[in-house]
Amino acid sequence: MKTTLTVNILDSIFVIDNDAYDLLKTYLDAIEARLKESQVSTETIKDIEARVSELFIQMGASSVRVVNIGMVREIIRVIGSPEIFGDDSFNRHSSSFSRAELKRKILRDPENRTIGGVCYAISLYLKVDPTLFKILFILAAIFGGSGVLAYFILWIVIPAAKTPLDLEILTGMKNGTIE
Amino acid sequence: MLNKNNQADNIQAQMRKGVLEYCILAILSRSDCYTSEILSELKSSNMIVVEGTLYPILTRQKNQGLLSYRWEESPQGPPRKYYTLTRDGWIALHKLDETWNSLVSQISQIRQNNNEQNSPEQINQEQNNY
Repeated sequence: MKTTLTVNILDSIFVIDNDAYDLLKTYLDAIEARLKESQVSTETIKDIEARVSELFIQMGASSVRVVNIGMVREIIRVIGSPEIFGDDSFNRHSSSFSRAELKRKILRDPENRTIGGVCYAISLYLKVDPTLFKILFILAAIFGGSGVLAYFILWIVIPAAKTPLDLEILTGMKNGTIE
Repeated sequence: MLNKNNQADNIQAQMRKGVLEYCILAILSRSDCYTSEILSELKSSNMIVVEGTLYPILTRQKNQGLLSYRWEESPQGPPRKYYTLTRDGWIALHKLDETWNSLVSQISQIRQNNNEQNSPEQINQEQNNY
């Protein structure tokens, strides 16, 4: 006697032995880990799951025919070990981000600053001349002194561009490719 | 000798990789196919050994704009992804056809020259050295 599980692979239902499930889960997780680096991961892992489901059906899996560990071993033999995934040099575009991620954002540019880069950050985001904010802060500092405090708070609140994504956004805002 | 074999394996793998991409475009130029059809053709012609090789390439070619796909219901099992060549895919295929033809003629030219220069004895001797 064996215990079984029910799995849903892309909307197809399979009844699967416990040990077969463990092996399949380990296998798919290993492939996913290998693909994680590349941009194509979610799509490719879905394609592979679809193939697994197709192969199970070809092997005769059904509501009364349970998927056993032999079937999973056969699948691994046919699709190949996880090591073959992710060494595709063409997939490695770590410096390029999808367009959706590149949105305007207030960022302090480490290379463009007079004091802390706050005026430049705001003016770049709003597409205006930084001098305008410099004058505003100086005036607020002279009349009442609130300019210094405001500047200090903004310096804390506005993040400096450090991550590759932020630097990409910064470059995009500077050369006008991100609207 | 082991090292030499490894080198040859490496070169072979590189050659196959490029040719495999060409084969996918060539198969799709006949008609739209779903993934399993491409797989069975590549397997029967020994272009791939394990199926996993194909999936990342298909996704990449799609991302590069050479292929596009549509979903179709299948009589049993999950819906199928039918791949089709885009305009860019056709252009790439024509370029690759030309490249392939010129490669084949260049290589056969070189090999022919070799055969004319090397007497059969020499070739035998070289083979024995390995």
